[in-house]
Amino acid sequence: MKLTLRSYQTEDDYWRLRAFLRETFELHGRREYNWIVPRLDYWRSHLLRNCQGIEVFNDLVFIWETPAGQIAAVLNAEDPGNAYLQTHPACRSAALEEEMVALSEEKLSITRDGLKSLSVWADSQDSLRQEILTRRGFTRGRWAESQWRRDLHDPIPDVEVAPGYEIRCLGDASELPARSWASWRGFHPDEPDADYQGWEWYHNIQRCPLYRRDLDIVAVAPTGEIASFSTFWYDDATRSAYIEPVATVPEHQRLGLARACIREGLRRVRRMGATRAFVGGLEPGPNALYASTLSPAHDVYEQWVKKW
Amino acid sequence: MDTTPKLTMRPYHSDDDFWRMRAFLREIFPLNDRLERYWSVPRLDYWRWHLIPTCETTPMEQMTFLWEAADGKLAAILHATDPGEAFHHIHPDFRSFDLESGMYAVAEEHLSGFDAAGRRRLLTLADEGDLLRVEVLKARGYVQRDVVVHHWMRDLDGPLPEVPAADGYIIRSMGDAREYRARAWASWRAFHADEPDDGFGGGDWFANLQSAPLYRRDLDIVAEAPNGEIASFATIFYDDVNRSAVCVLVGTAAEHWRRGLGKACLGEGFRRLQAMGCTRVFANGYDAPANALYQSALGSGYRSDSWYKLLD
Repeated sequence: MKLTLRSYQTEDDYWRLRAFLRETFELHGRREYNWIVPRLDYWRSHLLRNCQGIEVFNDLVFIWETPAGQIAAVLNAEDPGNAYLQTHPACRSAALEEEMVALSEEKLSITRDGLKSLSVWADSQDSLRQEILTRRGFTRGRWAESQWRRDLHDPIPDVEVAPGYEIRCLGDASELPARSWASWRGFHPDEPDADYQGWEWYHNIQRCPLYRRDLDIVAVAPTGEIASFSTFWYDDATRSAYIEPVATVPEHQRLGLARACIREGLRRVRRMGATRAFVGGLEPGPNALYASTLSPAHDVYEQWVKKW
Repeated sequence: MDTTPKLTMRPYHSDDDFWRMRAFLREIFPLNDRLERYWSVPRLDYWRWHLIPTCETTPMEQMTFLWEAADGKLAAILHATDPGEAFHHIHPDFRSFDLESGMYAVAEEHLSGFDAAGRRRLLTLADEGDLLRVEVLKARGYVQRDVVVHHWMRDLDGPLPEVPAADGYIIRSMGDAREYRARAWASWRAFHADEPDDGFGGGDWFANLQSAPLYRRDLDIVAEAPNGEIASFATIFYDDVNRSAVCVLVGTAAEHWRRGLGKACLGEGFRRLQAMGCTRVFANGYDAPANALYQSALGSGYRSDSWYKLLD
């Protein structure tokens, strides 16, 4: 099939990407072989807007369309120097994958110290992509994202919460500074507090189409500060939920708070009709938590790196 | 040769049917020019998560019938929220006089109710300009009533005007569970202003509404009065698949009427919807005050006429 490549152009493209990801999620047996909608929303609203100050991502997304105008494949960045290939199973071919990887090298690589580098991500069972990457000079990188999942047919067991802590959903706007501070302490525990840049970024999170405050679960310490959080995104169109981010402030770690937040979120999305939940982990600590809190079932999304 | 697609009718079976109905409504919404010719997902959710558990209307499995094509895909849905009024949702590829008429036959047998005089009756709606529906209704002996439902809508593709709140009132999102009772009291005073206060049943029901997949607290807009009570509210369900929203509950406590609070809540909700990518919002008006509010806040629309048939 003859596909036409073009760059991302308008807001309408964004909404078409979302529909494409929903369609392919079902076609992939409800697995994360492509991104799912919450990840796309989170990339745009948080990783681009908040973390990189990017509003327009026309040069970070490329779309292949069929003669009928249907999306066949999407190539997009996430962090600079990373490329993600999303393909429709009916359109996927070695030629298309090769073209996507070649375009990634041309458009999404970064240059440091005169050396270009690019990471392309591939499922650990995806031999087609792995062969192409190997042939083009990529090797497995040090990172692999474990994509944990849990089916929600059965009730979610209760978990005992550490004494004095309360598991509840995020409060109103007056609690955004506390929630933001917990993020800072959870993800940047070794950085000086002087580098903290405020809480206004959280408005961009809350503007996401799938955001709901009652799925933004927090553990509140006896002092009233937010000690841990797990933000759930429920896509009712695919009846799937995605958990991102999850963190606990260092002073409150090892009390089972993240587990309690995740369990509470799972209970809530299940009540809303969710049938499967996902969370991704890159490091041993989170992976151990997710394996025990969701289930051992997972896919592995591997980093492949090329430098030239 | 008969080219009419063969459809099979069956009653609603299980929760899976509910989720298939949602997908079906999402599929046919754009096929109907993004108009609410049939229910959209927010209305289905409102039925399941509010009317059934809170208003104790008849369970879905007793009120719903599905027509499926040979490949198992949904072609049409017939249901009532309570006995007495039938709602049809039909895929445009399958819509025909015979299908509609057959659906009315099922509705007359299974979904009828009783009027004030105790006569068995079925109510239904026909959109203005829906000649096929009117033809079916006349052929089956239905008579038009002097009751109209206005379907208001507004596209959100341009700048939205500021709608300031009356002095001293604050427009904000609904708070947490501690505010259920205050929010429920506002509903009570808005929709039951002439009833004795001892009929007020508290606020626990609000948790049901909040369990709906499309509920979000930041689209549950309230106007807080200077004394701290909730004076007005606009609960909006946003369907990000079709980039459309429905104002499912809008009301102002009687003590706070005529201060523009309903319009201010809607205006704030529309601004938030626009920021989330919503391109069209709907509201149904069933009486003159609601229609006046929606006309000023939404602007355009069309009407459905109510028809009835006495069955005994």
